[in-house]
Amino acid sequence: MNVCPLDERPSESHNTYHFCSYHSLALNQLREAWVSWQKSLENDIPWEAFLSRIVDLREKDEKLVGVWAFEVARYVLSSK
Amino acid sequence: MGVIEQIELYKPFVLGIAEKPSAANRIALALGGKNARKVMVNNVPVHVIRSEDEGQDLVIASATGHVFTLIQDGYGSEYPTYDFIWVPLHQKSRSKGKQTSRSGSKTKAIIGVLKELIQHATSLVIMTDYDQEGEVIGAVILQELGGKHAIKKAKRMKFSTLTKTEIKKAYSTMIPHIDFRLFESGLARHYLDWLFGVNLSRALMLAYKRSSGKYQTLSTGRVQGPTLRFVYEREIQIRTQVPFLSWQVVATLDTKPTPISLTIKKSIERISEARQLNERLKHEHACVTKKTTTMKKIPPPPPFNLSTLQAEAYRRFRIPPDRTLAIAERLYLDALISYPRTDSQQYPKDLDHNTIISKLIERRPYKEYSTLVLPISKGRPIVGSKRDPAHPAIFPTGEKNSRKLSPQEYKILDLIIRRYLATLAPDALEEQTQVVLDIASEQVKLSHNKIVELGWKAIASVFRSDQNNEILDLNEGDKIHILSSNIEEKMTKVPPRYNPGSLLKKMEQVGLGTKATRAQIIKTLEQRGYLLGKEEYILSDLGFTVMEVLKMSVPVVTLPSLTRTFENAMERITQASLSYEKVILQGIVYLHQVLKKLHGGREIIGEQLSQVLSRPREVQKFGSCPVCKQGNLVIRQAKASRKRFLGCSNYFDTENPCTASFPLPQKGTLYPSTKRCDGDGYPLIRVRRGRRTYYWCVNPDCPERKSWAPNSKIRNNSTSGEAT
Repeated sequence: MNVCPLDERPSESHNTYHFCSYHSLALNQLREAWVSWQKSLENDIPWEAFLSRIVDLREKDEKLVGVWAFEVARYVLSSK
Repeated sequence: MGVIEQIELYKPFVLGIAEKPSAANRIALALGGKNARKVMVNNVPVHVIRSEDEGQDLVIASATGHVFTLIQDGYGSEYPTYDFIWVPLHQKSRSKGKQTSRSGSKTKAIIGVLKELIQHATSLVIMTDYDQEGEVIGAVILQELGGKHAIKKAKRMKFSTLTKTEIKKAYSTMIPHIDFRLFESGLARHYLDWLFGVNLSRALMLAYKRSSGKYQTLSTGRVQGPTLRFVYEREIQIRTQVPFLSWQVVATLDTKPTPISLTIKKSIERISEARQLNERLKHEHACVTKKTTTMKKIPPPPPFNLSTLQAEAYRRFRIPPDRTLAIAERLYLDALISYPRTDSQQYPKDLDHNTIISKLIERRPYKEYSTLVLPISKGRPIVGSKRDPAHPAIFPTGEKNSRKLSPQEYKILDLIIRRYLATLAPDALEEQTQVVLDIASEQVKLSHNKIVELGWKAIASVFRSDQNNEILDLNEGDKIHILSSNIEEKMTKVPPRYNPGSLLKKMEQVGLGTKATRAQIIKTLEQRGYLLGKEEYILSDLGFTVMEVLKMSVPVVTLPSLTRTFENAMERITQASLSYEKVILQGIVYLHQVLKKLHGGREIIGEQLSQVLSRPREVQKFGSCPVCKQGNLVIRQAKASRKRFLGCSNYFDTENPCTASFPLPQKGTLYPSTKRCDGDGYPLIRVRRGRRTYYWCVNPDCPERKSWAPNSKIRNNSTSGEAT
């Protein structure tokens, strides 16, 4: 069985990163928020740029971004 | 020498059994006055009131809360186990192979004295608190020490305060039998809690032991499980939070005496829409289309019940709910307030308010409110909608304290007195002004509330600062110049964590536990290491794993619906529409299915628990080490001075040890933060002391910190959340 690269929990998810259920949930949240950001900004903000912004936001204020979402964003960016 | 000889009881006597020694003392003083004599029998206090004529003597002895407890009937630590018996508390510790403790020998002495007195008494009176627990405490003592006929012949004293008047009245009008329905519903609660708690906890502990060979105290139950799930679900929400983006347009209007800043439109989804509105504002004026002023009466809040008292004490003084309950019980035993374990928001119909008020307003802090308190007939006192058949709302008795109260006790008593007086005071009167502005076809409402008459608010010390004073000078038809406008980004934030007060409130909302048990359940979750933090609960890795395994194997024990079903059943026992044997049987059938599932998944459960329990204990990290850049800053304690400081986690590293250390403030609670100091880039720590929060740069040579004088403005300003 695959394990999540971020917390070594077992992974049953079908995404490419083999995240555990919690980090998969965070990834889904990121994707959902990305769509909403694109709609809000009315431009095709690239996925990486969005993730970088999320990482910055977390570093500035931990009340804006949850720790799992932050970890996922950082991991996806570094694995590119 | 026997108990009877030691007390010199040569006449027939009535035996009263109180819940606690202090309550027995109060009752004896109220009923006997100077005639009440305290005798120490085998180190147990017994109060004797001799009859002056041919009548019976009255003997009052007391328990110390529950002196009997449920244990498994038989040996072994396997599950399922459905056989249990009541045993004296001191025998429970012996059954676990422990030495009898001092409190154990005290219980043994109490039980010895009570047994002999019950056997010789001509009649029996239960004088414990009138609720489920009190009924169980009294009736189980009679059942175990005097047999079933002792329960049948016992009478019941019903009271809500330990004042002389009420005790005397309760003694002269006592009920000829115990409250059997209350007793049976109390028994059902005890049995179900024992069955679910012992079996589910054993299933977890044995799964872990089987997998790791080690013992670890783990627990769950029919209330613990759903409570932990609330924190679990909130934790997932917090950790997976990603902000959603929206916009708002803010304008500054040229009002007098100072300009006013207001949001023209909130939550604008698209940036183009926000830009259009912002552009329109440059060519428009704000026009006052409507101005209304109304006077609104604000009635006082209802009197406290236990939950509202606990929530208010936490909100105002940060006193945890279990501590508030302990303090309130102490105040009750001192006859300063009525019985605190109540759901009711109603006063007793025959409560003598005039006497209580006159006693209260004699005292200095409440003297000034004497003119505020209304006559009882004028729609006062205000009461709430919640009822409790056993006890009224919490109210002060007006008695003076016979001992010096601790600061926290004083705060709780003051809170209760003020709330009581507030329910008797007139409504507060508020002038509410509302102005509607038409700005670029957007209708913007502004309101201003001003308290005209303080009424009850003067007593309860509830004030709200006035806002938007500028709108008072505006009139219909006025045109106001827009000084500036701009677009602001808005992002959704992480939901707040549960704290002891909000978790207790949530439990009450969904009907988990009782007023008396909720605070203890939260405390148990803390003690098991499932919840970390004192002011904001963080779910630990262990808490996560326990919830995961329960959710995976038996999700039903993590849902409030199960426990709510049983709570309803217990309510029906009290109303005599369901037998308690049937409820227990249903509980066992249900539990058996749950345990079967847990047993089936024991290997996976054991493995998951072993994984998390074999990890080193979670240590709070306060940012990366600024010296070695590899380790993390963690709290350490100096061996000699016992003072805390920050040290590098690589201190014990054999290859590259790092000896970096940084002093810490010695008072207050420390929280990690992701912020860095503007002065030197070192990590900042959030320090909370009382109600004040500030940020602390870990570097003692920080240029910013050098400017800090004690209580300087720079340090205090940081309470707003900005880094210093």
